[in-house]
Amino acid sequence: MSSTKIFLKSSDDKTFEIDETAARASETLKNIIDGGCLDGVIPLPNVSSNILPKVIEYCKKHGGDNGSSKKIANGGVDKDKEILPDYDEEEDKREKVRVDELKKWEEEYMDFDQQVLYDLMLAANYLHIKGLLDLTVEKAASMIRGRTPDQIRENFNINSDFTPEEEEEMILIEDEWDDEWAFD
Amino acid sequence: MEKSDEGENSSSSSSRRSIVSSNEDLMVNILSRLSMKVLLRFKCVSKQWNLLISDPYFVSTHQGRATQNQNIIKLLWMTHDGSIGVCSIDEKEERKGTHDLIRSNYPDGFKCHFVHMVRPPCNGLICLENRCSNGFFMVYNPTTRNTLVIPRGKEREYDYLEGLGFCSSSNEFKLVHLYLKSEGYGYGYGYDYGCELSTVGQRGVHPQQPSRSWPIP
Repeated sequence: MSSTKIFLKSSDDKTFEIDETAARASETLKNIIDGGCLDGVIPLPNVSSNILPKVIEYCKKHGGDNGSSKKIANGGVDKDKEILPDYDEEEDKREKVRVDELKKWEEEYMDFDQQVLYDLMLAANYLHIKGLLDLTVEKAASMIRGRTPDQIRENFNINSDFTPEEEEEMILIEDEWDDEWAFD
Repeated sequence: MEKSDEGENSSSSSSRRSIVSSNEDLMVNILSRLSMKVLLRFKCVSKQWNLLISDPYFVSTHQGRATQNQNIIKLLWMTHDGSIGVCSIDEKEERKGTHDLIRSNYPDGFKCHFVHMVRPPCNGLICLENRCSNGFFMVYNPTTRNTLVIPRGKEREYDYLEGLGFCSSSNEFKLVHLYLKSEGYGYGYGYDYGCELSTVGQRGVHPQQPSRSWPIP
């Protein structure tokens, strides 16, 4: 399919090209396109030229094939298919390979250092790219999971506004409940 | 694929993290993926984090995510003295008798006579009832493990029904307690009902008792 090209301008005035179908992976861009506000270049003042290619890479992979990204969310099972009487086993196998390939791609795509992570998360949030936001947020969650409150403060530039006494008290409460919790 | 520029210095990276940490939507999204144990540890990061983790919106988001991924059914009940018991039932085995104790002063819950079922959770909070003569309601937050005891009104009650609702505009929970004021069976005049409303807001409980009480003809 030949597709219309769209131009995106990063915060530092660099222009990048993206297919319209790929750009539609972003809700924000989709709304701009559908709203008919396509006046040459779309400026993205919140996304730098370091991050924008990474975002475009994700959109290229996911734009226009919403089907398979949905299947990952359902654990690789397409429920609609079970209803169909002439169930195509071959097609199903091909689909499975495609989903596996996409998962592998995402793993490689997400292999970057921490600096990129928060930039990418903010870009995904700003551009409303749900799949990318989920990936980055999940990675951030797994990174902070094992940390101490001190490390968290350092990571997010937070100053503790508890007095040492208050903090002591909160740690005591925490110890009291230090058993397995039911809704974990 | 262009690699991340070497010129991107650490100060800009840390300012990014400040932007993330001040974005409540993103923080809810990140933190709601963590287990309760981790969140309890993070409550003392700052007052803002403590507030965020205790917020009803966060509680319901967290619980929604936590229950989504689980194959385990949880059973929760309250005994006559107000202790709460939890039992996990594994779907694969018929009955896995683990009873995690939530309150440290928990007596042997299985021997208690007043075990009552739980109402469906309302926006993360669970309402438990105690049907003893001096019974009370308990609103329980499984995320923070805090409990809140709401006494029943002074009026004599014969039978009652209660429910917990969430009012999103005021960010408050309402506990509605509907009761029968007399044993009206066998008479043609209808029953005498009373209604009691308690508000559970972020600043604790405000029992407006009896806020309204009226008979239904």
